[in-house]
Amino acid sequence: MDSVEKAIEEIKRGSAEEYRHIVQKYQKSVFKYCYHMLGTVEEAEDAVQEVFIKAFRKIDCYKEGTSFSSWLYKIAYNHCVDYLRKRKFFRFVPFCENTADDCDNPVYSVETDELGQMLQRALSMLPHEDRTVLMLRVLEEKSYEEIADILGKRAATVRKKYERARKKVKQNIDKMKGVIVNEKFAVN
Amino acid sequence: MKNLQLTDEIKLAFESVKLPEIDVSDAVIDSIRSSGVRCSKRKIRLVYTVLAAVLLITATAYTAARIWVIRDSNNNIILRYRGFDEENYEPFDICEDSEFQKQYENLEPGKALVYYNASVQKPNSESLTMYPKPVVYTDLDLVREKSCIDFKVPSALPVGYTFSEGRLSFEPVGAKDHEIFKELLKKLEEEAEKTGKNSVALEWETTSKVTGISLVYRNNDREFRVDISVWLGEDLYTDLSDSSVEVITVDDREILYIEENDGDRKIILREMYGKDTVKRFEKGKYTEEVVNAYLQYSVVSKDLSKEDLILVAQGIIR
Repeated sequence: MDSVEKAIEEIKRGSAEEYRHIVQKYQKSVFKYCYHMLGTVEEAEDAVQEVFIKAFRKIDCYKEGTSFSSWLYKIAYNHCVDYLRKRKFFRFVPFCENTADDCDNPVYSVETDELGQMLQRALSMLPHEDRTVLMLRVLEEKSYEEIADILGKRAATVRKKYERARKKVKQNIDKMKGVIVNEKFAVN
Repeated sequence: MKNLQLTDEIKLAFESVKLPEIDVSDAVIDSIRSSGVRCSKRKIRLVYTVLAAVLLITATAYTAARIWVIRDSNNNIILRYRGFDEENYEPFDICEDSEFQKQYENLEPGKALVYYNASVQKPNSESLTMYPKPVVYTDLDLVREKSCIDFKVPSALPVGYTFSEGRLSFEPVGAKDHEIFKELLKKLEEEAEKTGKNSVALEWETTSKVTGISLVYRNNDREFRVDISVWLGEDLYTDLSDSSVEVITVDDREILYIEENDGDRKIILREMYGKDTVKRFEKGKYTEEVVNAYLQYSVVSKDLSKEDLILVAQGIIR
């Protein structure tokens, strides 16, 4: 039994403190996922907190021997989709750029280059599911079967979504790069 | 090679986004500690559209904070959709009990599972819940024949969807017999004590009476279902903490539209289905009451939009 399973056993017996280790282990990757789904650091941070609270409440649902991170991502996915649905639209929020003056919240800043910004824009054009598939495959290197389990889909469907999402993101990024190149050659 | 390059490019793009370090562990632990009871949110759910045969719940006064009401064309209330008052009744979420899930998975279709969980059974409660496992049919005519309920099917379907299967849940034997349940509960409590286990399950027989119908429609890997059952009385209790509810009017009929946190979207509509007698056992004696019976349709899906769900509901109403 690995350390996560052992911790979960303790948590099921009522140890809230053991849960701290779980949060600290997974919060960075869940945060990254929520950020790319929701678009702002503040919303992502709130979402991470909610996801872990929900996971604690549902800890009895977790089946020993299955992937805990997949189970957690399922909760994160449902939470983000629900949040986006309630928000009714997906808005692209410009990143805090070079100076603190550009930021609404001086506490957090996201460092990113042009490629990162284009990625965010390209991701925002994907449906939620496709975005999730891409992130879990590329960032977390999850198998199609694991992702299928998270989304409640078949593995073959996930594979198709991944191929489509990957192509779409690449196309969108290339288009944006094309726009920038054209601007450099714009005539006054 | 090209595929790998593409993935690497995208990975590089992700890595170029440097997020700040956060630590929510304190906030999470504080929140858990301040909320007190673990797994405090529990709800009754339909598993595989099972309609549980809840028998003779000891009457208590329910005071719900939120109630949504729908009325018929004569302005009579036909549904009061309301949350549980957790001081009086703490529902048990069978979906969150892994032991139940395991037992239920192994159950033969057409049988019921009597499931006793010592940690959720209310003290001095004389109620017990049984969970019939549905039998699946792919022939809609056979579903109609076996159900003996004159139900409607949607007259129009979203593009690409077709009927896939019908699931019928049958009434457990002795579902309305308080004495049988009292005896059964006693045996389950004794078994739990003897074995030292928190939960005990027992396989139970069912009759030929259908208590729940679920029609499943599919379009490749997307689906929606129409759950149909006869409900007695106007009150429908559920855990409202994870859902948003609104009353909407479609073709002059009031229906409920619900969005759950787990991604389910649902429409509930009702039609009068005559009257029936409800037998209750409270304070040591039986009482009987004649109540309205309703044929309730719930259109449920994670894949259909609100607009599509409304169209399906319209197809049932018309």
